[in-house]
Amino acid sequence: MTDILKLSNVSKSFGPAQIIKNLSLNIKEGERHAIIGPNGAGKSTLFHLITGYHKLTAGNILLDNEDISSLDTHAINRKGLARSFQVTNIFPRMTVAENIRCGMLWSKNLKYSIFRLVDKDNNLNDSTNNILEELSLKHCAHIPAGLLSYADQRALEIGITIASGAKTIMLDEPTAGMSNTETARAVSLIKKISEKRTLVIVEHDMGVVFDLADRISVLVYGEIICTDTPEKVRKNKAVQEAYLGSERNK
Amino acid sequence: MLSSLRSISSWIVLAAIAALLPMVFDSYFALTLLSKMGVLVMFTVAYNMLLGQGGMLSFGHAIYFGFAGYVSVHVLNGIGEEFIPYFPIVLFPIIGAIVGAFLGVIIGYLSTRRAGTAFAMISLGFCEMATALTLIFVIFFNGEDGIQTDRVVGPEPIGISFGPQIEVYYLILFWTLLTVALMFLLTKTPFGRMSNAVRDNPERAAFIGYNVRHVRWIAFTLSATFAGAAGSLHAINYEHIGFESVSIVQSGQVLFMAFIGGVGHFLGPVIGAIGLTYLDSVLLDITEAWLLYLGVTFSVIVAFAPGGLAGLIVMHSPIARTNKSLLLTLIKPYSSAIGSTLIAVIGLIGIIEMLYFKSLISKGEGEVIIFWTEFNANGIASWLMFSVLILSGIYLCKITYPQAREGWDNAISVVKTEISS
Repeated sequence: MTDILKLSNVSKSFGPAQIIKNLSLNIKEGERHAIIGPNGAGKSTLFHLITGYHKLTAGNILLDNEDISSLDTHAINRKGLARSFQVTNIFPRMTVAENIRCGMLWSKNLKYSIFRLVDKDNNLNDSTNNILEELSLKHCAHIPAGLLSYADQRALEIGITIASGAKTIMLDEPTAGMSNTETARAVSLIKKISEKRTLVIVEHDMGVVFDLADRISVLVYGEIICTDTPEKVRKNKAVQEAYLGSERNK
Repeated sequence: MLSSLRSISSWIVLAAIAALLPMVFDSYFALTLLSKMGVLVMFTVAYNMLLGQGGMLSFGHAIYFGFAGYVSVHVLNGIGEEFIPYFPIVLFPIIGAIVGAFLGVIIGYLSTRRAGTAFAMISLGFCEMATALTLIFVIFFNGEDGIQTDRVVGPEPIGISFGPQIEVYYLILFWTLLTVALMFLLTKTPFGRMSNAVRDNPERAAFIGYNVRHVRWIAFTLSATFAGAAGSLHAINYEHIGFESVSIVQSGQVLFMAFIGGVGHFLGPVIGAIGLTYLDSVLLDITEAWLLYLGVTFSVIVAFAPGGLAGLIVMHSPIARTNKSLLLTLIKPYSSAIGSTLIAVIGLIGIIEMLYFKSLISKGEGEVIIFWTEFNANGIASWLMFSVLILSGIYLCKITYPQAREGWDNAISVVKTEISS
C-alpha cells in the first residue's frame, strides 16, 4: 500500500511553547488510522496542521506526493482531504439537506456559479439524498440543522465531511459526549463511510479506537512514540508507561 | 411545473398591482413617491445581499449608488451636449451597474479581507472618503450643489421621451422587478447558498473547499452592481445628483430600511423600503420630529425584534402552515398588546410634539395641533394627559405583552405536537 499522507519532521510552536516536535508519520492509503494520546499531547494541533488551519513552523506534509504544507484550508480540501471538528461545526440555520449539499458544491464543480440553480440540479440533489440515507437523516432533511439532537448533529458533521467525496477524511473525536448507544451508532457509521476511504481519527474512547483502527499512533507531548497495529500497541511497554501512566496520574 | 407556477404567481400578482398603482394614485406627488419607492426597493434588496445574505454590515453602500448616479448624469449631459453618442435611457441602469461593479471589485477586494467589525469600519472609512471626494473634486462632482441634468435627450422611440413622470415610473418598475427577480434567483445559486454558509460559519465553509474571501468578494461586487443600477435610476428620476447620495446619510437610510423590514427574509427589505419611503414623504410634512421617531423605531426593532417586520410575520408561518385556526386564538392577545402600545405611543408623540413646539420661536397662544386636535402647550392639562397616557400605556403593555407571548408559545407548542405526531 502506498502512503497517502506523509508528515516529515513536522514542528509547530506557539511562541516559546513547542507543541509538535519533529514529528514524522505516514498514513497508508485505505487504512483506518487512529491517533491517541493523553490530553494536551497535541492531537488537535496535529489535525489543524494537516488541514492547513495552522501553518507549520518546520517540516513538510505530502498528500498524494504533493506538498500541501503551505496551502490554505480550502485549497487542501480541494485536493481531497476533509475533516470534522471536535466541537460540532455545521451550518445551524440551514436545513440538514442543505448542509450536505453545501459540502458537495465545490467537488461537483459548481464553485461560485451564479448561473445555476441548486434546486434544479438533479445530480446534486440525488447525491445529497444518498448521503442523507447513509447517515439515516433522511426523515429530518428539511429541519434546520441547529434543531437536531446532539448525536444527529455529530452524524451530520461527518456527512458534511464526506459530502465532497474526499479520499482522505479526518475525524476529530467523533463520539465525544455521546451515550453508549449513540457511540455504537456512530462507530457503525464511521465503519461504513471509511470502507473506500482513508480514515484518520482522533478519539479518547479506547473501545472505539481498538474496534475501528487498523493502525494506531500514540502521541505524547508532541512526539509519536509508537505506530503499530492495535495488538502491538497494547503490548508496547513505552506506550503503557507514557500514555497509560500519565492517564493514571490524572 | 404546477409548483413553480404557484411560486411565480405571487410575483406576477405583485408586479400587476405595482403596474396598476398609477391608475389609482395619479397625482404628481404619488407618482414621484412610487418612483422613489421603486429605486429604494432595488437599492435595499441589493444592500441586503451584503447584510442579510452575506452577513457583512456596510456603512458605505451609498458609494456605488451615488457614484453610478454621477456617471449617469454626466453621460446624460454628454448626450444632451452631443459629445457622447446617443445611448437609450432605458438601458442607463446598465451604465450604473458597470460603475457599481467596477467600484465593487476594487473596494470589495480591499475590504473583504476582514469580516465583522473591521469590515464595518473599513466601509465607514470608504464612505467618508467618497463624500470628501465629491466635495473636493468640484470639476466632476460640482461640490455641494451637485449636478442638474435633463433626461429628455435624443430620439423618442414609439413616442416615449421619459419626460412625464409616469413613463419614468414604468421604467423604474421594469428595472426594479427585473433586478429583484434576479437577486432572488441569485440566492438559489451555488454562490448564493455559499454566501449564506459563509455568513453562518466561515470556518466550516473553508473546510468544504471554499475560499471565504472570494465568496465575500463576489457578494460585495454583485451587491455594488445592483446598487449602481439603482443609482442610475435615482439620477434619472430626480434629474439631479448631489453629494448626499454617496454620503453616510444615504448609507444609513438603506441600512434602516433593510433592518426595519427584516434582513433575515428576502422580502424584508422590500417591506422596509416601501414603508419607510412612504412614511418619510408623508410624515415629513406633518412633523418635524420624524427623524426622532424613526430613530426610536429603529432602536426598538434592533432591541426587541432583530428579525425586523418580516421576522415578526415569518415567525407565524409554521402556525399558518399546520393549523390556521390557531391564528384566530392569537387575535385577542395581539390586539390588546398592540392597543396598549398605541396608548403609550400616542402619549409619547404628544409629549415630543409639545416639547418641539416649546423650542419654536413663534409660539403664538401656545396652541399646538396633534392628531388633528388642538392642545394648549402652555397649560398643565395637556402635559398631564399625555403623561398619563404614557404611564398607563406602559402599565398595560406590562400586562398584555406576556399574554401575547404566551399565546404564541401555546400555538407553537400545539404545532410542535402536531408535527411530531
